[in-house]
Amino acid sequence: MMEHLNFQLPSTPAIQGQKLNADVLCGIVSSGNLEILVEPTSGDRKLTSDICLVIVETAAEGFGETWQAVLTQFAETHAAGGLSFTLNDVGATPAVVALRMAQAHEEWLAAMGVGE
Amino acid sequence: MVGCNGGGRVSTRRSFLEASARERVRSLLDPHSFHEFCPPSERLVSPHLAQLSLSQAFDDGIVTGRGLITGQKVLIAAQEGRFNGGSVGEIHGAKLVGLLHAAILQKPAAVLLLIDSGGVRLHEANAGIIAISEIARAILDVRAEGIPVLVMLGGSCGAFGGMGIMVRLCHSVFMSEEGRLSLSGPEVIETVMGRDEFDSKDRALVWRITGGKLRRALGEVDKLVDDDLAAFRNAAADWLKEQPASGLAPLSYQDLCVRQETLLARRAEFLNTQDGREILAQRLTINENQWTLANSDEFETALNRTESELTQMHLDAWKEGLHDLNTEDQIFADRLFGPGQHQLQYSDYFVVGQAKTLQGTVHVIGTRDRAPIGMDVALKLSGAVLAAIATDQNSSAPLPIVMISETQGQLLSRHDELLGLNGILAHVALCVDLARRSGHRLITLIRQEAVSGGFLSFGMLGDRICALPDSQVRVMDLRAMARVTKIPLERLEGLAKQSAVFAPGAENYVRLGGVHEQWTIEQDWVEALALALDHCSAVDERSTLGAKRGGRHLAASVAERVKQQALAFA
Repeated sequence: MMEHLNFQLPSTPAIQGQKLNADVLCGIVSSGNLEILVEPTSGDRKLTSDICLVIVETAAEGFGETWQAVLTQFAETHAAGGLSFTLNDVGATPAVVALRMAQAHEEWLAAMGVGE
Repeated sequence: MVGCNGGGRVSTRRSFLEASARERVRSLLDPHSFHEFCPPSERLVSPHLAQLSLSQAFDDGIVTGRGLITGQKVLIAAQEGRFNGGSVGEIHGAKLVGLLHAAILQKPAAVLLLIDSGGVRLHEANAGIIAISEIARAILDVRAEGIPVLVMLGGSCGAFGGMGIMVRLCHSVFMSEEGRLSLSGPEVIETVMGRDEFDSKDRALVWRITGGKLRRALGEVDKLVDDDLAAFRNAAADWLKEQPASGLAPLSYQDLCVRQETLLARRAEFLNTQDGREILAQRLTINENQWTLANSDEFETALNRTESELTQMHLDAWKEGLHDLNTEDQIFADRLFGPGQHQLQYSDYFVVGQAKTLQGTVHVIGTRDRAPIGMDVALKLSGAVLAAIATDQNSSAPLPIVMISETQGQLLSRHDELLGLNGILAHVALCVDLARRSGHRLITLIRQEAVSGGFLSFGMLGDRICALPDSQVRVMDLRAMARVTKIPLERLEGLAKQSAVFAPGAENYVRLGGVHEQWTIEQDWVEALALALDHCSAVDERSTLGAKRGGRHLAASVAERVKQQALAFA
């Protein structure tokens, strides 16, 4: 069965003074892995530029607290405000999730033409 | 990725095998030239996976788009083998169909297909096999426009099932040693026929039956390429330069006769061969140790010849052993055409002849007795179709062909897989397609049962597909499906009552648009056949039919969406 989770996490705005307009897909939906779609949240007024939205669809049920911990740490250590991360997960470990989030963030910055 | 190769040199080779579909696309195309159609942000996910509470992917496992190769515009699709084995479901298939339809209108320099797929996605099996059949029709239409289609193979899933057949419908195939190309997977053959037939755990054997080097030596592949993204890119660029600006000539009757002879000769040359070792030894100037280690350049240099040099294989081989119908088939033919209105003969699983209908005389070509379609039956079908084309070639009104499709699926045989059953079934499909393009109307009659590969390469290519009463159409029965997908049988049985998308049954194929009509016991079949002949359309309208009948809501609209995005980019 699938579990649906939704997090709104405080995070430093991703990029200041530039319209966020890139989408990036990172990772693959396969066992022990996940894909992450990164998009700007600018279409949604309730989400300000200092909020990072993470939506998780996961095949592994009952790991809400682990997700909260891994994603909170990501949002604290990366400038991901104003971005939404949508995850299709097939039981990736917390380490893989953390790595993939960082990679997705980096690829999104690259797509915006910003190196880190 | 930096790694060490066997010689201990540090190489900067980036593996094609290990790359994702997106990485493969980006590395094949000129930098920054890729533009994706229906990208992940559009979230065209499979509703059928969701219904089974399974993970979805935002691109449904296939990337479609356009880009440049050395400045020339190409359309490109890449399957992601790591998402559900690159399997083809309703949306996945529709994206590829849409891209191919765009190619017909847009006429790019070429279409590139990066196939990495186990075939039909069992969770949406009926929609999947119909989608593959629509892909077949679309590839054949692209070919008819003279647009070159190149397949590149080197992913972890290879090309199996219906996608193994699709590969051989295209003009050119480039493949790495690591790639695999076949019809039935080794595991399937082992499960059904036993380990003595095919030990799927013996990896070296699997590669000697299905792998890149064997396929290249056999002549099923045009070029062996190293497992290196740069090598694939260079091969694609060189190939593109060789394509004539005026487009490629369509396959002619002569071309297909040559192919028919080649396949007959291959069959004769390797009549009892069970291991690719024998074929490689015949076709290479180097020994087993050398060919095992050879890189693609060394392997190409060592190729003696790829196809058999046996000649004078007679095109009439399909006529051998024909005799008069038995009582059961006689009764069937009487019911279909009327007593005394048919001259049909059969040999084993094959039936052929002519008959009179209310719409005039027709050719009858097909299979009987729940035929397992192996290379012998397949080559009889293609031989008979070519003969029908030849008979009517000077006629202004070629006779329709009634294709009787009665098959339990493809033959599960290591020998037939070794000799390229996928390619042989593709040859049958190319012959049927030539018949259509030569003006023959094609009516398919499903008798008893029509299953997977045997149906896909013949009956499913009909202009109008009719299921006879009590006939069964399926990819796999629910029990086997439950085993493979690990979804409990009771759950599948429950869902089968609401959804036409995966459960066996001709009525489900009618709802999905994959079967045009189902006949009844009470009906007069002679009249029904005449009506069906009247309703033949050479245009593939199955996806619109599926939407209209409510069984397949998305195929037509997704294909159209990809097509429109492609055309907007012209």
